[in-house]
Amino acid sequence: MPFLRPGPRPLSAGLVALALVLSALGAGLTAQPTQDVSLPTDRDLLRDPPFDRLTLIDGTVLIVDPVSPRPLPDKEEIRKAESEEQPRYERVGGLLVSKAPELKRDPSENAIVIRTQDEEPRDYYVKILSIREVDYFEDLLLAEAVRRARSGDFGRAFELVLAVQTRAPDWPGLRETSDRITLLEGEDALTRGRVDDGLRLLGELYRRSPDFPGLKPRLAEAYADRIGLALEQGAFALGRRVLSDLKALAPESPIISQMERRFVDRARRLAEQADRLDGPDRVERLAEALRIWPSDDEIAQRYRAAFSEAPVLDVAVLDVPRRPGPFVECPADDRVIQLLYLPILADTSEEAKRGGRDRQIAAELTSGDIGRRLVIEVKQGLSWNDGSRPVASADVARALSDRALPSTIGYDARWASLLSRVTLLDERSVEVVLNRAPLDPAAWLLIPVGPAHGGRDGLVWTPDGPRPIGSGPYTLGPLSPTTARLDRADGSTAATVPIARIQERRYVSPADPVSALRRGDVTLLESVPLDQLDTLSEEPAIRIGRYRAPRMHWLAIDGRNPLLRNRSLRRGLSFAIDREKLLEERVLRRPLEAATVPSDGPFPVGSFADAPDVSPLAHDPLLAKMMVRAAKQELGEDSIALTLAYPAIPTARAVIPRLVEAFEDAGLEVTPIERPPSDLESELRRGARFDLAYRTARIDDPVRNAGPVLCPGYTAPPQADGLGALASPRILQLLLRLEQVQDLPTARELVITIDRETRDELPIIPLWQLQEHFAWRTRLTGPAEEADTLYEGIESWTIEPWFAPDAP
Amino acid sequence: MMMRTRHRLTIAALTLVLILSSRTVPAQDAKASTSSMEETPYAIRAWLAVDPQARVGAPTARALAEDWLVLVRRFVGEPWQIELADDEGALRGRSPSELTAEIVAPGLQGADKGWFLRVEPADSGGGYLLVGREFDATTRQLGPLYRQPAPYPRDAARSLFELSRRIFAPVAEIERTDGGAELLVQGASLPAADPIGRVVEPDSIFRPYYLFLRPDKTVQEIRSIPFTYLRVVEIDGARARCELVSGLRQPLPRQVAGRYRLVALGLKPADVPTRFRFVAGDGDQEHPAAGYVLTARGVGNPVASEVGTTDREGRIALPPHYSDSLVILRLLAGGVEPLREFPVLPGETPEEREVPVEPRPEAVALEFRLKALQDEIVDLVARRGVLEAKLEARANGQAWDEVKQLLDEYQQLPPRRDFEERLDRLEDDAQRTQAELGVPILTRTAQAELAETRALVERYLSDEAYTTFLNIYRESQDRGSAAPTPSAVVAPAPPSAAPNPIAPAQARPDSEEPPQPAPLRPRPKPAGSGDPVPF
Repeated sequence: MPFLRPGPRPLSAGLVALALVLSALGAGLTAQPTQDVSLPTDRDLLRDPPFDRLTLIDGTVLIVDPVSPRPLPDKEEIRKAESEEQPRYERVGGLLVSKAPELKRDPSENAIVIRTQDEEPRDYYVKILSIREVDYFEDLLLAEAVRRARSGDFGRAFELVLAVQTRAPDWPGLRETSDRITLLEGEDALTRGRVDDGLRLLGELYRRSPDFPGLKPRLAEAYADRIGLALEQGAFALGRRVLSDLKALAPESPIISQMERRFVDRARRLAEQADRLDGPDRVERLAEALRIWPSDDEIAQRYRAAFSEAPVLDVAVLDVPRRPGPFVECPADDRVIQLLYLPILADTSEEAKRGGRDRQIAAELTSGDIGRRLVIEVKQGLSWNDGSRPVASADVARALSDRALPSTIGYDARWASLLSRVTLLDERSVEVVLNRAPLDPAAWLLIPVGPAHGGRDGLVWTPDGPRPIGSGPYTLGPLSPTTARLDRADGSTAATVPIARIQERRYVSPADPVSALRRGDVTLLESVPLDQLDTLSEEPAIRIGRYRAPRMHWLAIDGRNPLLRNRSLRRGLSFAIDREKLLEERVLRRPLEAATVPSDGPFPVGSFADAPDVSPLAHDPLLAKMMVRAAKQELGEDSIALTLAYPAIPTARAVIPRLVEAFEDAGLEVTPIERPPSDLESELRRGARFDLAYRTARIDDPVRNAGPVLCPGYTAPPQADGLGALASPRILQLLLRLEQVQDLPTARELVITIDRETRDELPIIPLWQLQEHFAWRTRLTGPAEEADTLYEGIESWTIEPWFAPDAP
Repeated sequence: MMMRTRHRLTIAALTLVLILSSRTVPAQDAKASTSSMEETPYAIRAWLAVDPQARVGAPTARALAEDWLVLVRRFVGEPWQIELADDEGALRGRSPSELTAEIVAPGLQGADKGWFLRVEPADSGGGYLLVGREFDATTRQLGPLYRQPAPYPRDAARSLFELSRRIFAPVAEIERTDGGAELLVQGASLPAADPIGRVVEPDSIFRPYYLFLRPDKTVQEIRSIPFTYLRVVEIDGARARCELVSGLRQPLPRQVAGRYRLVALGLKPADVPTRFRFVAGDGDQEHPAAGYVLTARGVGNPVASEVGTTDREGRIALPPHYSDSLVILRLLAGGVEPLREFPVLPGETPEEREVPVEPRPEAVALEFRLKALQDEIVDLVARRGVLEAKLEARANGQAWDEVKQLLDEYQQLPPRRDFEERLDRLEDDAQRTQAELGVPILTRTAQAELAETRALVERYLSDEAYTTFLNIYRESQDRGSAAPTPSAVVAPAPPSAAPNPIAPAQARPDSEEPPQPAPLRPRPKPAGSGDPVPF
């Protein structure tokens, strides 16, 4: 190659320089965005060392280290400078003769040093004018980036662009290429149906380069698609927001009015449908219309009028009931059951026994034979909600008998053991004979009563299919895994029960019920996460209430797993948990309070059943490890793997990862499994097998609740072997003895013993007790500051109509 | 309707007080003199009925009976003298499960045994199901129902023979001996046609009965000795030497009022569950013993396995075919305190037996408090061990400030005397309460737990380590931070050669014998350890 002369050798190796003078012809050397530049196939532009590609005037292509300066000076300018500097001809005696080449010219002038990227790199001088073309590395990167973008590899494309930005932030063509790739990516996203991503990308491009060719029409098109998609998906608020963004972006676009028309038409169609409905259905249809287009004043007016006649209460709950019928299988059932089915007795007070309570079936309860014989007199004037007949003794008898049959849903093993027989004395009276006198006979009559003409599932066959017919102020409507509807029963009126419909909703993560309350999508919130209590209480339109009894949290243990019968293992589990820290850091996010503290047993602090002399459960990771290791030795196991089922509630979600971590540190493999709360609790109560399970409950009556708290399947049918879940034979014995006790002092003493010995025997792993709260929007009036249940006093609640307008 | 017979076990009785019932048992003459008993065959009257659904015609039934008798003669021979009744007798309109002693007894005049056999359709597949039970005229006992499948109709006679072998219960006279008892078994001297036809074999089980006699030697009353069995150990001609297995201290006392005979009836397990109901308290205070753990072990086997836990009604059942021989059942309170121990032959009877127990709540409470105390001690030993390891490391590194902190921390831990005092208090309280209430509290198990706890304290809560480190620290302070050479700072010898109860045994040089592994926690004596339990 005659145009190359070896360049200066590195100083450390000595210097031998040969100068070459090359005449350069050819194209200029200014850098331009490279189009369709082919790359050496054996090069990875991002991993391999950078390079430039020189094409000399004789066609030689060289791959060299990046040249300097970058870009190279313009060849025309060099040529011009050289020609001006020294003409090639001179006058000698009136003749023009060519001059001999000047040898004094410095060979490095207007030349660059290049280093080839061969196996033996060598340095050369190259005259700039001898270089026909330079493919700069930055241009190669940008060209490759565009190529990649066109083939859909946007990640790689942006890596290449970023590489150029790092090397030379001001490289010509960098910004244009970046914009071009963004446009390509945005279009690709739109094509693939990722409308939000496409909009975001095009929006970003618009923000930095609003005049990019072809951007505006494409953007408007994309917005229209997005709005259309939102309409199809029912995400009307989102659609309106996107429409608002489009208005700001392209106020003259004809798409805007088209889209608005779609919203309005849809809302008006729903409003017309609402005219054909009545009651809460009409209200909900109009509300749906307003959710689509809240700016329609006429629809809003009709909505307010309909709501006044049939108010609807939207409630965000932790979970909804799983099946209809007079059965309490989970906390969600407990919450709604008294609205649907009247119990035999409302409570165990003397007034209730005399029939003085409204919400009960019994007009009177008398007992004889030292409490072994009960006679229940049924009130007059109570009817079933299907209007079929009055509530009668047969219904009460059926409810009491069914609970003693293992094949029925509401079976209670304790009651089955207690009940001897049920006899109908007449249409209004039932005799109940018990095998022994229980501690408080009335406590067994707080159960809901379903119609005797219902099936085993508690449903009554009607021409419209099986329906849950109750005697309460509400009837259960459609039930889904996340929603439950309670409608005012036909026998109730607005005067007795102002709220016509209760719509319960479980918000599945990532949807947030607290946000729903803030937005106004719901009016009542069953449970306020404790770490949001302070911020929520600052909202002027929201009020906070408190449940009277604290809720206990604990880990249930299944003793049917032989591993968990090992006392050392259970102690290791307990030692591993730092209750205080978890409460403060993960649940409360503030210091502990009086009623929100770690617990040392199944009963709340301050309860008569809470043994006073029990020392708190300690946190000791080292002891935890030692206990687990000892357990492994005793059991002859190299490793112990357990599952931990937990309900999808905020507190459990907050602490489970840390619990799992703590157990792993102690030497256990624990797999967490999240379940909907109603599913988990109802399965546990039916005696389903598990290893560890996170449970919560309010303990109203320690004597009656001790068994089901310490053993999830305590009342399950015998074939489920629910009692086998109790890992401590001592605690099982005490619980079963407690069932036999007939005097209150002995019962109290036993319960306190159970509490004390639970700390050592660890049939459960106590965690903490929490003071729980509910919240409501001020348009709802009636909830008290303190309540036992969420719907306490609902007969006196009123609610104003409201719907969420769009933010200005 | 099956009559439920309850066998009640009297509590804490050293001698049986027998009250002669005013109701007399239909007369049953005393057997011939015992000297000929072993030569007396069994006069067996058998009734064979056929369930109409079994689709067995009269000729087939006759053939079956004949073939069966042939097998009886071939394999048993003289000891069984079977008279096959022409009619169905008590089985007319009934299945053998519905029979009672009162129904069948009148038909057995002059016979030793009545066999009630029935051919029924098989539950599934082909063939038949043969069911039968025996009524023994001597002891007036109606045995449990046995079932024998006969899948091949042509071989039904063999199945019927097998059934008759199962339902047959030999009768014997009991003679008390020093070591146990001897049985003179009826028909044992008569040669059996085949070894399988022998009347009695080693490991056969018998249940003893008292036959109280009137002056005219007719039987006035028959009383079984509950939870008492005779297991044949050795056979010598017509005599069978037996081991007496009983839940009573003196099951065969010699001081028994009245004229009586001691007889024994053979037992074989039937395929029925063995059901119990445990009750505590008396009279109005009676309540089920719910939540108690039942264990079982073989006779002479010290290792027991858990059967289950009594339910809310105090009930629990051994499943059918639980064991072919005697087992010793033990009921435990809280899984630790033995309340009752008695032998049983699983499948002996389908009837539920009610067993009274004394719950001993105070003893159990004491034992669990001791367990909790043991937990505390184990935790303390672990914490001390950690501190001692840290002290050693800090002392070797001459970090005396940290040593001081650790010593202070060590001192904050509960001292040994705390536990000693608590143990003393527990024991004193138990003794006092035991004396006041007159109930057993310091039972064998409770005392063992006390002893184990004291041993834990003595063995693992020595203050020697603390004292040693304290002295080292003081020396270092006396020398004014002129710390002793590292080689002089040595870890104190452990208080005993026993390893830490928490950590596994560390590797030791070959020259040392590995120490006996200390239990992590003191364990109560295993169920069925063989020690007699006082009742």
